This record gives sequence, structure tokens and C-alpha cells, in this order.
Amino acid sequence: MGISLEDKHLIDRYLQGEVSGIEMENFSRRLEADAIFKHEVEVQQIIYSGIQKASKDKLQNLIIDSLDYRKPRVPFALKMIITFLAVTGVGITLWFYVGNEGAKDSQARSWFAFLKSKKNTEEVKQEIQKQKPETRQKIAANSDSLVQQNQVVQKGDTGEKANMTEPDSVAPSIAEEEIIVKQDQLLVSANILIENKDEEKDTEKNKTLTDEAVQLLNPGADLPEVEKPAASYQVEFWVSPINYKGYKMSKNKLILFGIDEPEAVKLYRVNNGLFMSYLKEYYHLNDSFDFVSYQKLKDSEIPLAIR
Amino acid sequence: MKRFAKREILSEINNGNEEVLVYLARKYFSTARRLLRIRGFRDEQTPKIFSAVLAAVYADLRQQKKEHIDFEAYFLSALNKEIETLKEGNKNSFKFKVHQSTEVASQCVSILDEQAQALLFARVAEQLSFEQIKDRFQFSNAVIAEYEVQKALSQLTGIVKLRMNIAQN
Repeated sequence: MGISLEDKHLIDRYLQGEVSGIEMENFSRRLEADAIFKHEVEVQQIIYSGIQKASKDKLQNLIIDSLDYRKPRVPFALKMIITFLAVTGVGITLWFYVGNEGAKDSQARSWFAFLKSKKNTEEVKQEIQKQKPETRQKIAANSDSLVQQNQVVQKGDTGEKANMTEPDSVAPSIAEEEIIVKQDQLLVSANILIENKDEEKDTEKNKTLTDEAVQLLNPGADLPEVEKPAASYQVEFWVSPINYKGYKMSKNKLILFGIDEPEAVKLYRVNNGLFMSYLKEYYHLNDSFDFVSYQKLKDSEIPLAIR
Repeated sequence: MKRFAKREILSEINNGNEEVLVYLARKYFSTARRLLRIRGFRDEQTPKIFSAVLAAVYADLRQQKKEHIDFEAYFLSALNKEIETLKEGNKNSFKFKVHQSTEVASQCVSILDEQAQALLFARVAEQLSFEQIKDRFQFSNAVIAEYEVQKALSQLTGIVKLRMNIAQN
């Protein structure tokens, strides 16, 4: 026995929540009393739930289809680990690059600075090799010739010791290489004998007698002693990056700039004056604590003794 | 993909426009996925949970005809509630707990033709009146709409009773 159309409408309204008041009371009473009606209500309730679920499923399918979801190739945990490592790596790099100390220290510690300095050093090396191959050859030649000269001096000398320091032959480090480019460079240091070409031989004798008298009377007489002029000079040959040419002289030390061939230098003493000959040119040297330029002598000014 | 302004979203939901659902799904999935992953759910679970929540929110808004709600806040609140519920239970054995008979009934709905399904969804899920059904499905009057709905419902009842071996009265 089926239920009537009216009952179907009533159940539909009840399940839609549209039944209330007296109608609801009557409905409840009938549910308790009529088992068939109750069964029909339960079936309709299941069907309504099924329709609602089907509706939700349809919506869900629509959503999932629109998402176009694919399982990620790289797992999320691995992504997190890679991100962590990347962030840590960047942090360490920044720490080394920026640091918390002085600029020089940080640059020295920096990987980039290391690469940069290495690159710069190589560039400087290349420049030096390009610019000064001839100078280096000269220096090497000069040092060799000076060594030979000194050996000759030692053989023929009366006990005076000829010293010669080697040019900066030690392979410079990267930092030193940079400094060498910017600063003056000592080529060689040598002890050069002075050739005495005094024109007045008598004066020397007189002076010697005077000196002997002073030595005998002193210290009681407190007479001023005349210093004996040096027989040799410690000469240093320097190269300036700006090609400066000049000298400085005090006591028995002479510093010369701009002399490319040290072995061609000769010193003469004439009438208490010091003269230098270099590549067929003559110069007069005076004591000076400051650097002064070479004073080239004219032919007429050159003493006859050294001509 | 069509874009919707914030104001349009609710009105489109109330009108039963499913295009807005696609738009919302694409817009909020990445946020929801991230949220779910942070809360410890596996990536494979995220589309299912997200779609369930969004479908529920969509159906709820469509039924209640609310027009003055911030959709984003409403959706995220519903998602957080769902996450809390799932975390209280066993998140690894995530399942929608549905009665078996309801599951059977929902499967029976798919047997019906598109028109009958749409009518039943409109009447039962959206809780539209016969007048509204008449307008949406372009029937000449509400009585015909009611007749069509009852016809589809009777058809479904017969299928469900057969499927569940319930004695025909």
C-alpha cells in the first residue's frame, strides 16, 4: 500500500524544514502511530541526504578538476632542506664578505676580495712584464758587472772591503709586488773608491804636516782637527717610478737616482771637490741632506786633472 | 578564467553560478595548501580537504543567501575549523564519515539524467522554492516545476529502494 501524493508533499516539506506549529505536532504524532509512514519518512530522509551528498561531490569534483593538482616532483621536506642550505650558504657568504671588522680585514678575508686581489696581481704582473723588460735586463746586467768589478777591487785593493748588496732578487710576494710598483727601488749598493786627482800635491803634504802637528798638540791645545776626506763612498743606486734624477750626499754615503748603468760611475776628488763621471759626462757633487739634481759641467768647467 | 570582484562573489554564489567556484578554487588553493602543509597534512591530502571545505562553504552560502559576508574570512575560518576537527581525529586516516545508505543513495543520483539531477539538486541541496525552480529551469508555472521535481524524486526513490532491497510499498 503506497502513500498518497499529499503525504509525499508533507514529507518533502518536513525534510525541507518548512513544517511548523500544529502541523509539526500532527506530523510527529503520526510518525509515532503510523509505522509505514515512519518508514517512508526514513527512506526519504536517506534519499535527501544522498542528493545533498551527490551535490557536494559534484561541486568537489568540479573544484578538483579546476585545480589541476599534480604531486610535486621534489618533496616538500627536501625543498625545505634545500632552502635552508641555500639561506645558510648566502648568510655565510655575506658574513665573509661584509664581516664585522675593518674594511681591510674584511676585504682580506673575503673570497671575492681574494679573487679580486689575485686577478689584480696577475694584471700588475703582466703590466710590469710588458713595461719593464728592458729595465730588468739592465738591472740584471748591472748587478753582474758590479759583482765582477767588486771582485777586481777586492783583488787589487789594499784592504778596503768592497761590499755589494744584491739587487732585490728575492721573488717578491704579491703584496710586495704592488709596493715595488709604487715606491722607489734600490738597484744596487756598492763601495766605490775615489780617485784623488789633486792638482796641488804640495798642499797635501802641507796638510799632512799640519794634521800631524794638530794630533800631537791635542787634546791639550784643543785645536780643531781637519777631517780627512773619505777615500771611498758607499754608493746606492735607486730607481724612481717617476724617473727622478738626482742625488743626496753626506759624509761617505752617496745616493744616486736615475743611473741606469752603475758600473759606468766613477768618482774623483779634485781640490776638495767631488766629481762624478758617468757616460762621458761630468757632474759636480756637493754635500746635501736633500735631494738635488745633477749639475752637469760644461767642458770649460771640467777640471783638467780628470779630463 | 573569468575574474570576479569581491562584491560579485556572493551574488554569483547565490545565483548558483559554478564559474565563480572555479575562480575561487584557483584563487585560494595555494593559500589553503600552504596552511594545511604547515599544520602537518600530507600534500596529497590538500586538494581533497580544500575541495570539501570550499564545496561546503559554497553550498552553505548558497542555501543561506547571505550577501554581507567577507568570503575570504568566512572560507579561512571554515578551513581552520576543518583542520582542527581533522587534527583532533586521526589525520592520516582522513575520511568523510558518511552513512552507508547515504552513500548508496548518492550513487543512485548519478544514474538519473542531467535534468532530473539538476532539479533534485535545486530543490534539495539549494532548497529553492518551486517558483525559483520554475524561473531557473524556465517552466511555464510552479505546478509544472513541482510535478517535474516529484517525478524525478519518485524515479530516484524507486532506484534507491531497489538498490537497498527495501520492500516496495
